[in-house]
Amino acid sequence: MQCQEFDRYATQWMEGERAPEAAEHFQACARCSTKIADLELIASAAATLPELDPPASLWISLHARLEEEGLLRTRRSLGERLREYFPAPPRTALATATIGALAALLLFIPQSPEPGISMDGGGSPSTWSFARVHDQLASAEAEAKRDVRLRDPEVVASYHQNLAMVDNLIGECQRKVNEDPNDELARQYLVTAYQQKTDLLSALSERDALGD
Amino acid sequence: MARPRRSAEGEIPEAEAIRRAQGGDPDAFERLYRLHSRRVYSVVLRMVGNPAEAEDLTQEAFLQLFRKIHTFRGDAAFSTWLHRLSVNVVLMRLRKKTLPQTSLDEPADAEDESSGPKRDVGAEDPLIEGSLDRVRLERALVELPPGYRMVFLLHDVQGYEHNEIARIMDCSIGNSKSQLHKARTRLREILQDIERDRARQQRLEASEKTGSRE
Repeated sequence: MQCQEFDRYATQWMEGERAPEAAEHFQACARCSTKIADLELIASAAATLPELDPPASLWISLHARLEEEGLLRTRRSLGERLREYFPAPPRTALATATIGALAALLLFIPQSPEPGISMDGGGSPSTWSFARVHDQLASAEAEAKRDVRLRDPEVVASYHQNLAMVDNLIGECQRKVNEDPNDELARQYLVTAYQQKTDLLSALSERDALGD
Repeated sequence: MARPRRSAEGEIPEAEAIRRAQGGDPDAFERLYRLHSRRVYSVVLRMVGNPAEAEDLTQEAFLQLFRKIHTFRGDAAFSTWLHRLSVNVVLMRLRKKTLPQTSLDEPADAEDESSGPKRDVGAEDPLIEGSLDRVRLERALVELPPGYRMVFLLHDVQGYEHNEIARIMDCSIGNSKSQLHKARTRLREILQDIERDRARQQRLEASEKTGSRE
């Protein structure tokens, strides 16, 4: 077998086929054996390339398109969906006062912004509300960290994972609202993300009250 | 929208999510998106090289998927179906950018020879071992023709088999194998060129240093 012929056989060789004449050429030809070694190196390096994370905004805009096109049935409430993560009977335990205050605050956040609203600028009612919610959430989280003692390691791990995801979403939405304070969709998602975190902390306190 | 995920054992299985999504269940759509979006986005981004465009095309692929999900009968793997949609979306975009294009089932050698890197006849092949890292490989990938790159990404990066790639790309299994071999060979040439350039640059810098000392 000549190099050109071996080259045509290389695909089979790489898949493990070893015809005797090809093996003979492979043993004798430094050029072809080096080439195969390189190709194997490339294939194995490719297998280590990481998967890449799409930005969180991708699902947000896809979801909006799906809604626009009427492809989605009505969603269940956030409370219902979050209850799946932390299944617990209806709220027999009282959430903390902070969480109650948060829920009230969220009710009053305007869904449509005043012109020129900024997350960091002061003054407008909705800016004030977002800032208040942010502060309230921070203290509710601190309270939860201080007071809630979960025993089941799976629940603890799930809580941390969910909290990290909600925090990421909040960060993403905040950036979007900062970039364009008139982006109604971003504002709605930010409110929803705050609501998710509130529900998560609330479910956590219920879980604690019920003995994990 | 994004939301916390249940632990792996509590998540609805893919087949159940498909069934529910066919009935318009929003949670099922999201579940399917979470299951597959990384793989789709990774392939798309490596194909187009531009995050904004990759986001746009990934969204388009999922939109097409969800519009047609009621027609999915389970006769092929769901991920194969989704990747087929993604590949079509990407190749359509690339075709719009670079006309004329070459069919996957046509021999592409002639075009490749003209567009490939030029090498000195008789020049020794530099070894790529030791210089091949993931960053270099990613850079080299960008220089592959789209058809080769897609097969390489699906097989060597994503781990699809040739029969699956044949279904995804609507080509023969033999063609998938041949494209993969050409892709790897071309990548090797590109990496060797990078290595030659690096060696040339090192020699240049060394001679400049020597010259400045004299």
